[in-house]
Amino acid sequence: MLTLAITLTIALVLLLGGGLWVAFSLMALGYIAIDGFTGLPPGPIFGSDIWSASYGWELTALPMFIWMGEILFRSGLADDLFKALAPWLDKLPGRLLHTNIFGSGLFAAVSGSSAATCATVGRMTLPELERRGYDTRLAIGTLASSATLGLLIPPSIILIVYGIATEQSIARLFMAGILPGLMLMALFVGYLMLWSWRHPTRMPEADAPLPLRQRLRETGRILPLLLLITGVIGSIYGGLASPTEAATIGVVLSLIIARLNAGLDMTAFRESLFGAIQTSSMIALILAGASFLTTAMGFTQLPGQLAQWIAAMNLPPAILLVVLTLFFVALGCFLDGISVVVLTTSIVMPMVEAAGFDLIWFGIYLVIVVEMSQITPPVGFNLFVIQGMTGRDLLDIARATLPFFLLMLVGIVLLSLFPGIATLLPSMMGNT
Amino acid sequence: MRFYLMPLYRGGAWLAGLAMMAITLLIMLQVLGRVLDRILVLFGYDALGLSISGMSEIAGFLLVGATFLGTAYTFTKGGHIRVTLLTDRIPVRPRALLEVIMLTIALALTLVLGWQLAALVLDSHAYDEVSYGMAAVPLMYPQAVLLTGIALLTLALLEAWISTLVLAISNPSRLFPATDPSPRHGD
Amino acid sequence: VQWNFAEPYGDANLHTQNARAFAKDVSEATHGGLDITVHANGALIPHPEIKNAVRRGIVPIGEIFLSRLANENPVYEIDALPTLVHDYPSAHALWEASRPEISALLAKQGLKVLYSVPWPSQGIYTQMELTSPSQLQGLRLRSNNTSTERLAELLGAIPTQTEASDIPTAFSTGRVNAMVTSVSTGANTAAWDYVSHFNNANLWLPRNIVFVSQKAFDRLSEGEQKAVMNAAAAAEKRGWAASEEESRTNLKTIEDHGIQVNTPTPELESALQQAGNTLLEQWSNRAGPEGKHILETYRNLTDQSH
Ligand code: NA
Ligand code: NA
Repeated sequence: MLTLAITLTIALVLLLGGGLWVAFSLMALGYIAIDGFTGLPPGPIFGSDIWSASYGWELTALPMFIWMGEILFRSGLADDLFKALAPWLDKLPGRLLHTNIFGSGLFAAVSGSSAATCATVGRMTLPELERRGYDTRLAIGTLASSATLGLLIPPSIILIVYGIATEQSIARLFMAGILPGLMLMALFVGYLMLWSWRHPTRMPEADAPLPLRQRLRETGRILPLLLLITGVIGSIYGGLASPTEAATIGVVLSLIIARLNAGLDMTAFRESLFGAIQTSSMIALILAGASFLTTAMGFTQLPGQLAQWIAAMNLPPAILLVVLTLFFVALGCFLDGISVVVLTTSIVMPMVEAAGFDLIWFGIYLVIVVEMSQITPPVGFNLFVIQGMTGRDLLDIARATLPFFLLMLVGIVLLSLFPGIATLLPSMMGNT
Repeated sequence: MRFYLMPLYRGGAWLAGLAMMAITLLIMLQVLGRVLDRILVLFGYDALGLSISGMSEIAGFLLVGATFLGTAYTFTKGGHIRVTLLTDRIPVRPRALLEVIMLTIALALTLVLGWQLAALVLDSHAYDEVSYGMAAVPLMYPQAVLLTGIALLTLALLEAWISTLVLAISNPSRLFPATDPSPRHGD
Repeated sequence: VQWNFAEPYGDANLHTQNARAFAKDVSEATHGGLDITVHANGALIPHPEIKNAVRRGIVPIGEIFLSRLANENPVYEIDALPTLVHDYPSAHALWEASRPEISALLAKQGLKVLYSVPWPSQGIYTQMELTSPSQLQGLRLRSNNTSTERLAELLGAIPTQTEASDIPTAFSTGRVNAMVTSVSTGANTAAWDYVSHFNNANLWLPRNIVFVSQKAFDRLSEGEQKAVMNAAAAAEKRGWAASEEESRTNLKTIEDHGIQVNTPTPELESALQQAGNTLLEQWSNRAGPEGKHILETYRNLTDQSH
């Protein structure tokens, strides 16, 4: 077991560090794990697993949201949004950087995945923030971390997977995610304000103050974007579209708005489509590689045996939680969040129940830990999305995100000290 | 780097774009059906219940085209991500060698994958495998699309492998121009 | 020998628990000679790929929801025909009657049937009390396969495709108004959070099936083969009993959580029966002589017991 863990870690460092593409590194790792440690022939598993990871209804939302981001990027709406918000946010330390946090929080109510949230929001905010002279690393950090809210604020793919695997109410889990999501947003906002207050020289000059009348006129520029968001959220909660379908509504509404607002023409349309295809196929190939690595881990039973090893220690609840957090963060470095949940619930859930944790609460805790895996290298999908968008190096982006990773740890401590943050809203649903 | 088969990869990307638009169209029709029903019920008529049978299944299979047919094109544009922080600091000669090694690994993986996918397509054909659900899609078709995407990627990797190998031997400094264009500015 | 068992359902599910007990039995009977690891939650192979994965030798053994194979051959669909069976004894008779045909079909793909266990009783979940068939007119009924789609159409309902993960949202936003599923699924997914009524119509008792790759089976020693077959027979018996037990306990669970449980009124019953008869007739045309043969055997078995 130890040999396997060490071999894989060394192989990953060599392959990724040597510049092998992320998707191929994951595939190679899966291949080594099966070939060297299970006695099974890796070839057929490779083919059949990549196939099974390549299709699926729920996956279709991701390229759609990415496309929506590409269209919005060409719609002029980002510029409008920032022009409209700038006068109001002038006095708030951190100013327009807050758009990353609130934009992600709002978009998280539409999208069930954090990579999609990251791609759509980031495509609008990152270029604008950079153009206006904001600190790029802070912009990247706030975006990568706030986009993880896509998983915590309903709808959420991972809460659905957890709910199905552990037979918990998905409706309750969705309710339970809301307050912790707001708590994380508050932590991010707080950090951003503190940082800007400490480093005034690294913030761009504020725009000249506008008279109130002009300010209000500028604010009107948000209207198309508000209509878009209302349309997409409304289509879900009005029963016209499932969360997966809502992504497509987002694409169509964005096309209409971009046409009206910026005269989106055929060239811009084609560019948006090709941009979306580039990002989507990059993510899809990595998802396929990650799926193969996950399957390989299933065959070697490494994550399960590690979990069993933890279970055998019979730790008191508080220590168990600390150990589990370390375990999940470590796994999350190599596997994506959903895989971590699927591979470990069989062994982790019984010990969690035995330790007396509320399973709804634990689901929320788990999602935050898994969200953290979205921003830890080498396998962190939000990092991949941002590298695809900015061309910056993965490790560089990870470093920019580190403070926010630590803030999420603080969030977990708060959630453990005050479990009501997660359990209050679902307990108000009655019928338990 | 020049890709001689670029029209092929671009063709793949166009097909991916068509698949993406087809998904959009299917889902929009489905949603419009619901909107129409809402309106009818509002005015006291019976809902028509128009819906596309097996829509989600078909969209899920179209996704294979939307993502994997564009994967070779994405590679030529430098869109598949990698970590370059460490390799950037290596002198040109060993770096060129490393690049050849990494391309060899990638090429080996896509060759194995393509081979296995071809076996999968033949197997699905031999057993007449169809999808579960209302559309009953013969699985060999979406699987063949995936195979096509991977085959295009293999070709692109092969082209990159050959030209990298040639340059690594003849003139390694030309392999890594001073400013590495980021993928976004490339499109 | 070490075997990986591809199980699509979660740990608390009765089928998963039965598979784990089966694995334990085999391990004990062979004194650890054949060690079966059950991978729950579709962690190893996702549900749609399990049959092919076993056929292609990627894993030696797996479990699936049998009527998922309906598009391959109508015979696989027989346990998803509404109102054909009405209780556990008749469901068992149907399995006995169809077992030879189903085993022969799967054997053509190199798959050996080990055991098959039904889901607990299936009724209609709604957000209002269902008393008359006219209430079904225009109701959005969740249907994810052809048999539920046809049933919905015959009842005048609107068949609506909804993924399992989307059910709570679909109900609470009105995209779906009704679904047919088991009391255990209702209890395990906290259906009381989005529906208020359950009509215990017992429409059908669909089954899961567990099969092993014939090649992998042939590689076992004679003693191990025997141990597998004995454990499979025991698992089938245990599974049927557990399923019947859950029909009772889970019905109580959903009732305790505030779901109002009813049985069909005579009008509703007859409307369902009528739709069931039509579907049965259509099915037997599609299924040809094999189908007719299964139905005959089934009728003989049930007549004897009466
Ligand atoms: Na969300
Ligand atoms: Na990670």
